[in-house]
Amino acid sequence: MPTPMLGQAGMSGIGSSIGGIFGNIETNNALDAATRNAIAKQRQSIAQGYNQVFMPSLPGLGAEAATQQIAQGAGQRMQEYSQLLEQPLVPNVPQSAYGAVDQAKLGVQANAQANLGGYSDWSLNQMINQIRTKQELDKISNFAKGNAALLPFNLNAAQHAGDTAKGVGSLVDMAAMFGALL
Amino acid sequence: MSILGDLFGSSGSNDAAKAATRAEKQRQALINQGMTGINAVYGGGSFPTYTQVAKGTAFDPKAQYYTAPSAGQYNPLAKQKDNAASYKNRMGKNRPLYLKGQDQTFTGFQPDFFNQASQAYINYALPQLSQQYKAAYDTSQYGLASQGLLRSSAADQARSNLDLTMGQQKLSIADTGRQQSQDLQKQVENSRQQAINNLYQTGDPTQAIQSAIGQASQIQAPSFIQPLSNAFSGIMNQYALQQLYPTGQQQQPSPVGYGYGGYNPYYSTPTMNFNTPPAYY
Repeated sequence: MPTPMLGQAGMSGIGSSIGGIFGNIETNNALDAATRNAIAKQRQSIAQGYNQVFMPSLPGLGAEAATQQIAQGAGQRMQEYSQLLEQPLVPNVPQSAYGAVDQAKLGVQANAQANLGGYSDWSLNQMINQIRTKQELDKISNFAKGNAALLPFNLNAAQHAGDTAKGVGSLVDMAAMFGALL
Repeated sequence: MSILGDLFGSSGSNDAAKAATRAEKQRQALINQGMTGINAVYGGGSFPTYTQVAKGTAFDPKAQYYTAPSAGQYNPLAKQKDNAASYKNRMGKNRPLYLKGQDQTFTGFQPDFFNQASQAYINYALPQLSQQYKAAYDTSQYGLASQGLLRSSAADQARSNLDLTMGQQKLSIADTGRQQSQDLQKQVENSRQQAINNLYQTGDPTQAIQSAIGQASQIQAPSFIQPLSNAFSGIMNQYALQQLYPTGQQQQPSPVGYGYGGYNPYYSTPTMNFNTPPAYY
């Protein structure tokens, strides 16, 4: 039959071990949760950037969009040119005998110039759209960086998640020790 | 001591993690708030403004008070009937309360703004072009009249050349106007980017928005525009040379060396500048 002292010492060991085991399980679970949470947040940021910003921006980068924007720019320029060419600037100056030919020449030049200028309009649109896309991605990236910076704090907190259980185990341990001594 | 540490130490690290999470949420809320403001300033729209109620201010039953649980996130004070008590309680504990000001509204830089910039240049340049055309036309008419060629194919050709140059200059003016409008668009985009960078660096939406408003007002100020250079100088210099060299004696311009004001062993060509008409006209 074990002596009371041995029984109390055994009690102390069990208390400490159970506290330690539960504490470790709790710590491990908290560490896992903190890590999983951080990974989930990063994945969410990646998905947000990809689905909500990057993918919707792609169609605007293709040749189809370019052709459309160039034609649109050329059309706007041509309209502006036509208005200006039709606008008489100097009164009382008779038209030359070559008036019709000159108008035709200018029309051809205006058309070519408008088509060429359409590329410049498309290029500006591209630049602005890409800046906007980058700004949105920058914001997502900035927030993701901020969230990632929380991981060490959360891991530190998780590492101490089992402290209470361990502490209770140690208290049981200590009480048992005192009991044995008395 | 280790036991006490185990029992009570965890709450400290937990608090630190909670505080860090709260701070990050606040930072993100402030950046979102700043972005809303910057987008309103540059792209048009409005955003609400709030002012903190000064300490010692009496409770106003008609006012709607707001709390800010995190930076940039304003919520109406819970229940109207509890307003007076909540107000007293919060003011007593130095917890800030806010009053909503008027929304700040901005038209932003819309396509019309850039079209107007282009049109402003066209309106500025066309009268100058018109004046230059008239001067060049008159000069050519005097020259043709002095040679008795006023009603000739040469006169028609001269006028045609002037008209073509005029048309080309109109196209060029339209392009310059559009270029100015595009430069302005680039300037706006740069300014918006600077405001956003400023927001990220400071994390202070109020400062970033104020700075954006300042920069935006600078963009809107009209920039200095160069006067139109003489659009017809090239064609009129050519015409002047024809006047100086009667038909059959015209010197063949050489690509390099002489002709058009360069060294000529047979004749010293005067430099013609139609920006300041020569004395013999």
